[in-house]
Amino acid sequence: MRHLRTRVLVIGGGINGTGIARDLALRGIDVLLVERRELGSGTTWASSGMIHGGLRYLQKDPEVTEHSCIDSGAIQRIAPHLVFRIPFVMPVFRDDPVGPELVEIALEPALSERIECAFTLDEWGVDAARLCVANALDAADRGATVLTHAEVVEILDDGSGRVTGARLRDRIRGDEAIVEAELVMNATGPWVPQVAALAGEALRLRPGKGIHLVFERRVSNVAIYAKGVDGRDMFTFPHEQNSMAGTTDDDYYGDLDRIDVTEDEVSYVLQAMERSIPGIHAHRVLHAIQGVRPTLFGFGAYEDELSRDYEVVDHGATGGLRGLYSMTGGKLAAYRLMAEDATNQLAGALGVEAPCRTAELPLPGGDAPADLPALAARFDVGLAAVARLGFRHGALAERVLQAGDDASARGRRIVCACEPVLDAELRHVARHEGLRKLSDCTLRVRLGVGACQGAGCGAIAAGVLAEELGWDAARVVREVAELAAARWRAVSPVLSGAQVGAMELHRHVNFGMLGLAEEILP
Amino acid sequence: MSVAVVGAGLAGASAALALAEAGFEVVLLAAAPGASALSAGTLDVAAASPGIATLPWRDALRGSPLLPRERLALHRRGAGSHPYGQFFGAAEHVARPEREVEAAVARLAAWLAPHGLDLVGSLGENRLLPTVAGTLHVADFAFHPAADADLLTASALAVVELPGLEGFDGRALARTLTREIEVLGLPACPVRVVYPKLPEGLLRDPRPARVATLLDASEARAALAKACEGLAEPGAVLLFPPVLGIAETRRVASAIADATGARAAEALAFPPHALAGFRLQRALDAALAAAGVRRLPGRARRLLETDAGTLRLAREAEGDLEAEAVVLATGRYASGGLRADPGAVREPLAGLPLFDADGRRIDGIPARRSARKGYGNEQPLYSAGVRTDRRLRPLAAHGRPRHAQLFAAGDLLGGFDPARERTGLGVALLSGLRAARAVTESLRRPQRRHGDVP
Repeated sequence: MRHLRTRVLVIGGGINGTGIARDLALRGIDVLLVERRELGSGTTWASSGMIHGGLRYLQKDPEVTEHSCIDSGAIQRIAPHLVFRIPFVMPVFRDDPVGPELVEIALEPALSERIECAFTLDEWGVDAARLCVANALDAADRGATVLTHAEVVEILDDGSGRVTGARLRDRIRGDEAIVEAELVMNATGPWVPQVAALAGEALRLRPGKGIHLVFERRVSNVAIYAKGVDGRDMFTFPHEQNSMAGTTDDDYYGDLDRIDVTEDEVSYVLQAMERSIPGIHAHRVLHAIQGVRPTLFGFGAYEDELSRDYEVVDHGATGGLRGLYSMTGGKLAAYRLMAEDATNQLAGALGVEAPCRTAELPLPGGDAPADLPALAARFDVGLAAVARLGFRHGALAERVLQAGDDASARGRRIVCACEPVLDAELRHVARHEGLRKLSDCTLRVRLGVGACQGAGCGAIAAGVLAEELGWDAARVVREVAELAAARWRAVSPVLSGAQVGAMELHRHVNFGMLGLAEEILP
Repeated sequence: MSVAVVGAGLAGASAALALAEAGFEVVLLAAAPGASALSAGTLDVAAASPGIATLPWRDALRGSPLLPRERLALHRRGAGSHPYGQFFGAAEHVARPEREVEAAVARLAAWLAPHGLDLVGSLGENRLLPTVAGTLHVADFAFHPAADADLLTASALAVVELPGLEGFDGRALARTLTREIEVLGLPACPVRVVYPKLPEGLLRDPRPARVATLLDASEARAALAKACEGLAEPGAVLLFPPVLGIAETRRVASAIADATGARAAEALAFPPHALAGFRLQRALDAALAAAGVRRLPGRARRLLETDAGTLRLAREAEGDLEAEAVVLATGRYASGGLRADPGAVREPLAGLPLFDADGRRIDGIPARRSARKGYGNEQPLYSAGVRTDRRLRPLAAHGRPRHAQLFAAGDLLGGFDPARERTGLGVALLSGLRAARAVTESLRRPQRRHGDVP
């Protein structure tokens, strides 16, 4: 069995875990980050992808809003390539009680005629999965070890109440490793209680399930507020190439690894949108995204009324396992601040005094804007594809393009036309970002999340990764099968309209042409 | 009065061509190309029975894969709700289904050949055709030039890399294919990648359809053929991505073969780069025009009954169309034959009830309610279509034919999952011809009834 040694073992590769790993690494502390699936694939991916204060929380949780607002400024500074401005429109209907005479809406023709006027404000969107990757890459650049698809199966202690590390299992290779660590940080979001339980520790959350619907292309270039039938605030908003709508917030008691989207939730969200955007049903819903918030426990309140604040639990301080910490609650927008707080505690326990530098040092690619037109001309790639590269990789876009073949034009070939994703980008993420699975490309580079849901690109992308990662034919077929099955899980709960035909072709390609058999599907 | 066929994919076209040959005046309504135009290059008549589709095909292949004839025979033994079950279930001897398939394929081949598309294959042998992903597809009948890539008859294979072409990576294909040949224990067939010095500007637009259009021109194909000289030994296969011309495929392939002595073939490709389906649709359209089938523009909106009891097709823009008999070959969702509206799935022309492979109705409820969780599960949504009597007349909710002169063919027929069972184009061809025969018998019978019945 492999033996690894580190000072801090961080469990969980979501925004909290990667944020903490980066902070530790920047302070010169040896850290090993372990993620059970793909970076950012849990609650982070299921979030709205917005770094904002949250108008909803302004009244009840002003401090959370304040922290989020301040810290979202830091994210804009350290990762300018990953954020985009989202103007919000908050319509005031004729029969609404409030509504001073404001700007008339000439801005967005999709809005209902019954709207009298609207408030606007600006928020910022972010590619949350890439934000995790950027944090993890920076940590790795500074000496951290990052393991994905590796699961903590046991938390080890010295028999006298002090944590000594963990036993890991690689979920792809199946082998195990022992990590010796002085401290263990459990940053697994809604899985925090499960991971704490491995160490015999009890922790309570009030997990809140939330879903988003993802539309093909954009419904509107501004975000539009809408009210649910129960009066809850929701919105539809542009996100990268698409629009999203959501979200819901319901107590969740089910399996965290198999979160289903129900017809109720889908209809509830669409019903809310319909009031502000009467034509919403004509837009194609591609798929749903679902996740569970690691909300702090509270009794006797509705889901929406629960605090979005966070907490860093030092288990040793309350008579539990010494050296074990857990992080619960919180919001994406304040991730850096939360990570700073958690890292302060970890550094304090290790007696390290180095200051936090995560707000000033840019994340990889965030140091300078890429000259997109120049890159497009130099590598002979369309500007649209280069612009998406620049968005995901910032100043590293040039390095990504170089991952293609120097002599041949293979690297500039478009593999996924929906996004678009270039051959070179797949090679780059396989070589330099530790990508291990085809199905992870949906988060890593947004491959296969367009209208065809990977029917046109899955097998081709698998071929590229096979070359980079040494996969055999059986592995190629299995990777394609897993991607196809994952896309079906995302699409089937919202399946309607033209997407039914798109999935018909998806099945023809995968079953008919590639010969995927039922047995190899997960 | 005439016979109206709705849908010009393989099912509708086969029905229309057969009816025209039988002497009927045929009117064809087709709004846009359907699923046939997205097919990959094989016909797959007996590609896999439900029984075989549930086995990992690699294992089936490693043992001794059943011949197409044997796979077809499985349907005769009762393949449940599959249209073949209805066609062949009662056949006492396997020879009848075989004869029907062979005659149908020969008829299609004869329709397509004058328009530049060659169809080959037989029920007596399998073909192992590589896909662009480097996996292998077991086929019975296939179109040129995909059919020429058969690994069971190739001595060596040279994959032609066109660097930067969308949807194709020659090196990755060769790599996966080499492993596949090894793992499956196929006869040794060395695979390598070759890099012809391409004619100037051939890949300026890297979409396969664009490259194929350029290669239709005689100078471009001569230049490519010259560039391929010496890249493969005689008897080997030069495996291309799907770019070997659209209208002049035969000429492109033979120019390369003449220059190299090797067989010029294409890998099976998926949408959006499946040129084979596009060529099929093009040849079918040409055959329909040559047969004098009258093609009307505009989409059919609704199928109605006149006061006199005859069928009337309401169109979206133009006037209504009356017909003595109507064949619906409108396909499923991607082709517009079935619609998944936000509230409910429905058959839009006649509101026909839709049944899945287990005989349960899926119309009238939202699509997502019929979608089962696992991708590998049986999906009622994708096995559903209309149910018919033995003359291919769709049944109404009461279980009797909706109309004496209304027929259905192709994917619109329910009870089978074309993707999983891989018999999509086979069903289209056989049911299209059967529907034409049913129309013929039905329209000629009344005249006999008035005359002296022998």
